[in-house]
Amino acid sequence: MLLTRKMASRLLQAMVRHSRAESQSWGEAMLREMDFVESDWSALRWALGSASALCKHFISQQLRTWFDKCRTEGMSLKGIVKRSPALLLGIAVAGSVLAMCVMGLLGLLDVARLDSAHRRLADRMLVVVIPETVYAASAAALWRHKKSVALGILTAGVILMTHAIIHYAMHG
Amino acid sequence: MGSQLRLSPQTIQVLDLFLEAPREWRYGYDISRDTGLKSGTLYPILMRLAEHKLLQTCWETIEAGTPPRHMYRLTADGVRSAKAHVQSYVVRRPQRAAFGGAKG
Repeated sequence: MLLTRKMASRLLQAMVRHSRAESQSWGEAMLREMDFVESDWSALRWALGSASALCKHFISQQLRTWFDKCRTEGMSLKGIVKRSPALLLGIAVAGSVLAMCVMGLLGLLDVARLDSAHRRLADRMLVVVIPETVYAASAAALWRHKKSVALGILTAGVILMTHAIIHYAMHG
Repeated sequence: MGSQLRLSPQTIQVLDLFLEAPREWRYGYDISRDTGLKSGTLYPILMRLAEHKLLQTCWETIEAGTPPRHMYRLTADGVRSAKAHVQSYVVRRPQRAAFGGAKG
């Protein structure tokens, strides 16, 4: 067996092994058919095509599960209104964290005489890096039991990050 | 299955091939060779047809010691639906050489 065919076979075997139970029999079918592909390069093309078919199947299954979940949990306007207090609480928590960081930065600038490079570093650390780290950690901790609050925190995190990127892109 | 089957020219091509001998079982590689569709195009079509219960699948052991091969043929519903779809496709696109253009 040439290296190309061996590589094709290994690739597809790995894909089949890691695919979901419902895709596995299809993967095995594709793998078996590869034995009947005449040339080694065609076998590699067959394996790559099959791997992409398994990926497509996986993605479509994931999307279907997600849409079904949305439908059963009611991602309607009513659902969003019901969740909004928790979302707002998350945003408020994130805002408080940011406010504390900004106050910490102002206090630091007041006490320490920093040159412009250190001032910029302190600014980035206290206004972006620390709040974003706190947001990510708290959202991860709250995700399972307080998903709406976690979503609120993440929303604030995304807004802050977007603002920071635009600000640093424009002002350096 | 609530969602509707998407009928791309390639799907029609596969259905048309099955309609040539509706009761005959076919192998994946043979379908690929006969239609000119690559595995990455063909298998998602076969999976969708099977999900919609239009395609029957089974494993065939040719001889002891060798792994079985997966085979496919249309179900009774599949034959009915395929005939309707292929016919309407030909009616909608009469000027084209029926399935010559679609390659995976």
